[in-house]
Amino acid sequence: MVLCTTIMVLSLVFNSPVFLVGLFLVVTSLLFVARVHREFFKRVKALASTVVMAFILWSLFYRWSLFNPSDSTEVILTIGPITLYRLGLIYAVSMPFRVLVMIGAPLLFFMTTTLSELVLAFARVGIPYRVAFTLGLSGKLVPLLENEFKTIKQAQTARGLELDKGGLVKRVRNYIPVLIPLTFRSLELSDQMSIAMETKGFAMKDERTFYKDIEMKRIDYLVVAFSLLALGLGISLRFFGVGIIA
Amino acid sequence: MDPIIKTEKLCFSYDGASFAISDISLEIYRGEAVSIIGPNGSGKTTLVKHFNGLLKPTSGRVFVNGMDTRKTTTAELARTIGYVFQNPNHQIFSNTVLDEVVFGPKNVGFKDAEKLAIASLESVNLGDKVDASPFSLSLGEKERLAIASLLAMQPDILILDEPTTGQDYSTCLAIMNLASNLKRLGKTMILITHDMDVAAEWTDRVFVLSEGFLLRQGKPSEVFSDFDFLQSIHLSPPQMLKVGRLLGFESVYMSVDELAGRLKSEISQLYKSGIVFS
Repeated sequence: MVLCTTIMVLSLVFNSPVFLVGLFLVVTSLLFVARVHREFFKRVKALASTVVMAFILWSLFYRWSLFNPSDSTEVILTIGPITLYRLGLIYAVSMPFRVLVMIGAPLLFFMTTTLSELVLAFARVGIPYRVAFTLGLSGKLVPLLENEFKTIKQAQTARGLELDKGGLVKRVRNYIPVLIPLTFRSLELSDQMSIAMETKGFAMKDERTFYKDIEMKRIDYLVVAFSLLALGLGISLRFFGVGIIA
Repeated sequence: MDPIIKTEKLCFSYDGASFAISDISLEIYRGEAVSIIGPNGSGKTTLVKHFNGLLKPTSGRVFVNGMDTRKTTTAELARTIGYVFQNPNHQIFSNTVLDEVVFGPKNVGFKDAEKLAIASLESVNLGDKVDASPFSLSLGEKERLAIASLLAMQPDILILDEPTTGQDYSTCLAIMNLASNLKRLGKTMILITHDMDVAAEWTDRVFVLSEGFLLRQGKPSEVFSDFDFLQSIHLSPPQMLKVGRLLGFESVYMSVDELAGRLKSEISQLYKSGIVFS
């Protein structure tokens, strides 16, 4: 997790294409090592148009960008009304890579770590188990409620409800017959869950033991140390103006 | 006679990789009561969700009342076919029982929605609960409320998805009596059930699904007599059939009444032949 956050922060720290491409390569190779690259490429494919769009927008409209950090107006090419700035082009190359790194890094984390491992890790580093469990639970609840939402939508459609009919206000109102049962169902579910948790001794005072346990191995410490080092190095490099264009 | 529901080589896949149901061709006729049985995950619910257009075929076709479901919306089909979902809590949202039932007929454009709602509430014995909050009802009452809310839409076909699961015997009986009343009114009834006794006693025809394939269809007495087949897909035959077979009777008995009738006549014959029971 530390590694993933470091990569994400670093991708925001630098804006030179060389550095961002480097980070991208690191993330991709890690994804390959973890054998989850297929998932990543699937998402990249879905986002391809966004990435291309980012490239075009940055190269064309660089001049009017809100984030424009400098007043460099070095022009490479002018075709009629279109002017390509040197800096614009560089940004256009780095931005898509920044987006890709931002997608790849969390994916690397979530595809290699199960929710229960995450909860366990939180508990290990001293976060109270109740808090850690709640964090993990919220991650599990989302797909569960999504399923409920689908079923309820179908049940109401079978009663002649047309969700996509009418103007904006009408459409919002259409969702009332779906949202009310959903609210009650989630209350019902959490009620059942609390009973299940209590029967399994969730609120016991004794010290908790775990069926599966994780331990920080040497390699884990190394990765954390390396990540922190890279983070520190990256930030200080930025102060000295390395890895920054213009 | 034209079938009211017809599927042709119907296949459906949720994820594009594996088929939830494969190559199902069947016909259901007006006024029939049919049951769809099969182990968990055999595709029963997936199949009936095609009948009212909630799912559209991956390949093959489904016709309801002659309409191709691919070209018709679920809301349009809702006038013809009512689908009562498994869990009534998935549909209850109104402040009063009456409002809950009025919702459906109003959606499909009935002018006298309220009258229809009251009539259908009376038919499920909830006539005195009109002003109650639907959330305060018992589970059995909620189930009947769900049925009423679809009945009020005056559908020709009613699909009941496991209506008797988790109900006590009297509620179960009330629901099935209601269903057979509908049949008398000329409505078509499709019942998904795990209860072989219910399927045997109350329906005219049985469809057996397993792993997405339609393995058998026919009269309950035919399908349920093949004990080896039922065993092979982990279903247990209706109890009366088992008892009848254990007693060595040739004919097949589907309900308690039928079997009791046979036993009575056997006993009275024994009496006549002079055997005295001690």
